Amino acid sequence: MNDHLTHQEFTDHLLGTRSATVEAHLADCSACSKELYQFKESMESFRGAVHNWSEAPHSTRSAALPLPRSFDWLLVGAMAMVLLTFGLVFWGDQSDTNGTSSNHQPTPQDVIAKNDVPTNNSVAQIQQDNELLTNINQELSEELPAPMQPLQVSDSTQATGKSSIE
Amino acid sequence: MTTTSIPVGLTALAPGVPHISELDNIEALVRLYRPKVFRFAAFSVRDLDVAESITQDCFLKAHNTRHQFRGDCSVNTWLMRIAFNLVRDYTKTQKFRFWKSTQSTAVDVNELSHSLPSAGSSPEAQFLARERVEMIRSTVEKLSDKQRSVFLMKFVEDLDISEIAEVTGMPAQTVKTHLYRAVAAIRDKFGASL
Repeated sequence: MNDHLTHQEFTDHLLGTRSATVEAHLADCSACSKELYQFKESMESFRGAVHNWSEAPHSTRSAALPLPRSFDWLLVGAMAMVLLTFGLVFWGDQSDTNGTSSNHQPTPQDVIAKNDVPTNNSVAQIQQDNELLTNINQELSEELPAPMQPLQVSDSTQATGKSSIE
Repeated sequence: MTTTSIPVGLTALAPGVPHISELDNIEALVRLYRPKVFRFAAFSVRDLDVAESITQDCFLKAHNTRHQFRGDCSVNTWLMRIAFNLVRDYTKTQKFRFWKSTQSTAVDVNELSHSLPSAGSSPEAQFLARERVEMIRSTVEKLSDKQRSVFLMKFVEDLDISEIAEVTGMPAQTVKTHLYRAVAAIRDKFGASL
């Protein structure tokens, strides 16, 4: 059926523009008059609800503001990530502790790493190393045949804990 | 008041214009118009804190510039124009765009539907009315900023087309076009629900 009110006629009537043809149509067409009546009634309900809401004291408080719908999921996701991160860190610590306290056999690398003296690049250490190298060079360049030398341990090698047969 | 004290671009006020005394009494002004400005801002920016801030700014601005009020429109229209400009300024900011993208809603659905006037109506009628109010609310949120503004001014604040045109600075025909589209969106929603 093509003789109902157009959207423009419907809206004009809603906005208060009266025309004789539209009034006549509404008198005859129950579908259009019913839709118009329902629409007006719904708009009145909406208007009344909004007015009541805005005049209520609670509408000004921030506490009445619900979280945005998608923000709920963002928050839940962020909390889950934080919990997961903490969980992984805690689990890692626990497994390390359990491993060292039980039957964990230290590997040679572990022993070396544990006993490894940190590199000392101090001036004294460098000087000591240089002296050691100088002594080695001197001893190597001596003309006396090695079998004729008495067996002795040099001072510099004693300092490093190494012995050499000269 | 003499015309020499009036800034350029403003019309002279006749002595004893009633609007001036109304604007001077800021407490009465706030008491009378605060809900109107607040609900317009709340539905426009969908953030109650920002709406509250805009409402306060609106009255502060109205009070500070009351001497510029020419009296050629109602105080209601003048306040709505200030509120409309403040809302427009806010909606241009990046902050608003971010929160808009999260689809926040300023008005709790249950709170709004429970604010329905229910005098003498049956529970079935109240349920139906709540559904329709929620339908309109959700549709209004999805309208464009201009459509939403003119829709609220017309169907919630009861301004006529010429007043809306004055508030928004749009031609009356443009206001009507926005209203046609807004009403069409709601009719579509109603039609889909039947």
